Amino acid sequence: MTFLKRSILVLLLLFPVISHAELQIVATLPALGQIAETVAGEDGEVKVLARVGQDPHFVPPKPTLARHLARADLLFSAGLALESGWLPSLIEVARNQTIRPGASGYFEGASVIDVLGAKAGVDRSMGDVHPEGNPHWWLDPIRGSQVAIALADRLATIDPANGDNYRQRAAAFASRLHEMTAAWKSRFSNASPVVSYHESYRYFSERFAIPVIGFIEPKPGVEASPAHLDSLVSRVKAEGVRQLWVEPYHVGRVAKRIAQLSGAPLIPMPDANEGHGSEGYIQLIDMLLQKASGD
Amino acid sequence: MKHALKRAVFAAAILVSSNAYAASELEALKNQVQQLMDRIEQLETTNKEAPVAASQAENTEEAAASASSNEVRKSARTATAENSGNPSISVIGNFTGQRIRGDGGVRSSSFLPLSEAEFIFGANIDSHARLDVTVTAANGGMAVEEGFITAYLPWGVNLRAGRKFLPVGRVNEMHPHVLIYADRPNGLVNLFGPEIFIGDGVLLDKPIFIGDSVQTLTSGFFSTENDVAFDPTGSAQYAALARWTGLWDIGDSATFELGANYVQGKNGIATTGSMTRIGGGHFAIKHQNLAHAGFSLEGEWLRRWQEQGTGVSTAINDGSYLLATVSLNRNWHLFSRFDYSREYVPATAGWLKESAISAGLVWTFSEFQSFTLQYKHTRNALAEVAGDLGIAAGGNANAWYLRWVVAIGPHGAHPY
Repeated sequence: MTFLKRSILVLLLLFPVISHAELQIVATLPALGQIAETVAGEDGEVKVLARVGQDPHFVPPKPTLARHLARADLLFSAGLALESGWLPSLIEVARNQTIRPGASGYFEGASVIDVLGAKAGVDRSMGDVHPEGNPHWWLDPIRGSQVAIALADRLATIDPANGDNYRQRAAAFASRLHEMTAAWKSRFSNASPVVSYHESYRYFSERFAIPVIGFIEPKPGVEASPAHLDSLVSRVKAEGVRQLWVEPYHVGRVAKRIAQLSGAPLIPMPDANEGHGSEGYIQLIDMLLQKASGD
Repeated sequence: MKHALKRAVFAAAILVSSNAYAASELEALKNQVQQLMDRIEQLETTNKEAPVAASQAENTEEAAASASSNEVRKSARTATAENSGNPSISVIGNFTGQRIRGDGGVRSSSFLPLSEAEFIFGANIDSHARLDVTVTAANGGMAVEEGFITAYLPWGVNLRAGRKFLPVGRVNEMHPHVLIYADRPNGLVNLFGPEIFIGDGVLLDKPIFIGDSVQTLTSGFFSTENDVAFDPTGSAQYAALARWTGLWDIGDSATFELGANYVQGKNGIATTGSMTRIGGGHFAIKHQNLAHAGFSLEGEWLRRWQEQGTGVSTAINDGSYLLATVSLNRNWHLFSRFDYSREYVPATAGWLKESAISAGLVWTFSEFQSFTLQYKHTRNALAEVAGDLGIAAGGNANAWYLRWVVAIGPHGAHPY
C-alpha cells in the first residue's frame, strides 16, 4: 500500500465514528427518572440527580452532579421552585446551553399539569412556601400520566426519528396508570383523616380522597414549637387521626414525640423508591397506598 | 377412458370449485383481516385520546379551580426570582457583635450592629451573558463590592469580567455570610488584611468532567489595590493568577476536594519592579447523610513572597487554617478552627508565629436566618491580626462573636 493510501486510512481511522447515540435525559428526582425511563425506553439513557431518600428541596449541589447535565439533551425537573435551592448552580457548572430554563432541552413537569396550592400575596412570614403551587405532583398517578405524555411530545421534538416510539410508550403508560388508579381508588372510600409532616402528599391525598387535617410543621420549613405540638396532639386525639405521615428524611425527634403522645402510628411515606421505569413508578404509588391503608 | 375423463373433469371441477371457494374464503378472510387492522388502528387512536379525555373529565372541577390557580401562578412567577422585566434582588443583613479582651487592657465590644448589608442583583443579560452586582453597606459607607459580567463562551468556558472576590484559596471567593464562622480566618487577615482580596479584571474558567470528578481550571489577569499583599500605598497593581480545583465523589454521601493556586504581579513597593507572589493549596472532605447530619474537614495554606526591592530581604508570610464542622441535622452545627500564621524575620533568620483556636455553635433557624456564637483565642498576634483585634503585635486576645444573618428576596444557592 502506498504511503498516501496508508495516510488516508490512518486519517479515516482517527475521525470519530458517527453513530446514532441515545438521547441523554437527566431527571432531577427518582420518580421523574422512572417516568422518563418509561417514555424514553431503549431510545434514551436516563440519569437521576437526587438519591432515593433525599429531601428534594435540599439536594447538595455537588459539582460532580453537573457532569450528567453537561452531556444532557433534556433536563426534566419537577418545577414550581422545588429544586431552586440546588439545580441552578449545577446548570451553571454544566455549561450546557441546551438545558437552560427556557431552552428546548429544559422541561418542567409542573408546566403541563393543573397545579394545586398556588397562592397570591405570599411572603416568608408564611414559611418556606412555594408561591406558584405545591410541587409534589409526581405522587398523583394521573398527573404523572399527563406529564409522561407531554414529555413524550418534547422528546419527539428533540428526537423526531423516535417520536412515535416515545408517544406510544407514554400513551400505554398513561392508559395503565388510569386503569390502576381506578382500581386503587376503590380501596379508599371514607378514609380516616391523617396528619403529615410537610405538605408533600397534597396531590396524592386529594387523588385518593384521604383527608390531611394538619401538619407537624406549623409552617413549611419551620420547626414545630412546643405549643404547636401540644395543639396538634390534642387535635390528633380529638379527630381520630389514624396515621402520621412523615417523609423518611423528616423522621426525627419531633415526629416520634408526636406519635408517642398521640398514640397515632408514625408511617414513613417515601416520595421516591428504588426501581426503574413504569414498574418502579407504579410500585411507588402502590407502596404508598399500602402504607396508607395500614397494610 | 371415458370414466377416467369424467373422473378427471369431476376432480378438476371439485378442484376449481374448491379453489374458487378457497379464493372467496381467502378474499373474505383478507377483508376481515383488513377490517380488524382498521379497528386496531381506530382503537389505538382512541386510547391515545382516552387518557387525556378521561383526565380532562376527571379534572373538570380541578380545571375550573386551576384557571384561577394559573392566574395566581403567573402573578407569583412575576413576583419571584428574576424574570424578563426585573433582576433577582436580595438583601443580606449581617449583624455581628463582638467582645474582645486583649493584652494591655484592650477592651472593645459591640452588640449586634448591622455590620454589613449586601444588596445583590442578578439577571441574565441575554442568552450569552449574565450580570451580578453586590453593593455593600458597611462602616458608614457603600460600595460596589462585586460587579461582574459572566459571558458564556464556546467549549464550556466562562469569562467573568469586572470586580470580583478573587479565587485564591478556598474561602476568599465566598461572601462572609456563607461561611459557618463569624470572623475571617487569621491566616487570611495576615496575608491580605481584614478585607476580602478583591480584583478588577478578567477571569476565565472551565470545568472538565473526568469520570466521577470535576476538574476546574481558572486563569485571570486583574488589578488590585490590596495594600497588604501589594503596594502599601494602595495604588493599583496588576497581577495574574492560575488555579486548579479538583472535586471527586467518594461514594454517594461524601466528596473530596483538592486545589492549588498561584498569583504573581508587581507590587509597586520598589521602582525596580518588585513582585508579589502568592502560592498555596487547599483541601476539603465533606460527608452528609440523608438526614442532613454529617461532618467536614477543610483547610488551606498560602505563602506570600513580597519583594521589597534590591538589597532588601523578601518578606515571607504564611497563612493557614484547619476547620472541622459537625452537622447534627439541618438546623444545628458545631465547628472548630485552628489558625496558624508565621512571618519570616530576616534579622534573626527565624519566624514569628501566631496561632488561634476557635469554637462555635450555629443554629440555622430556617433557610433565610441563622445565628452563630463563636469564641476565638489568639496568641502572639502578627501585625495585621493585631490591628484587626485592636491589640499590640505579639499580644494575645480573647474574642466572642455573635452573628445573626438574615436574607430577604430570592437568594441563589450557596456554593458547595
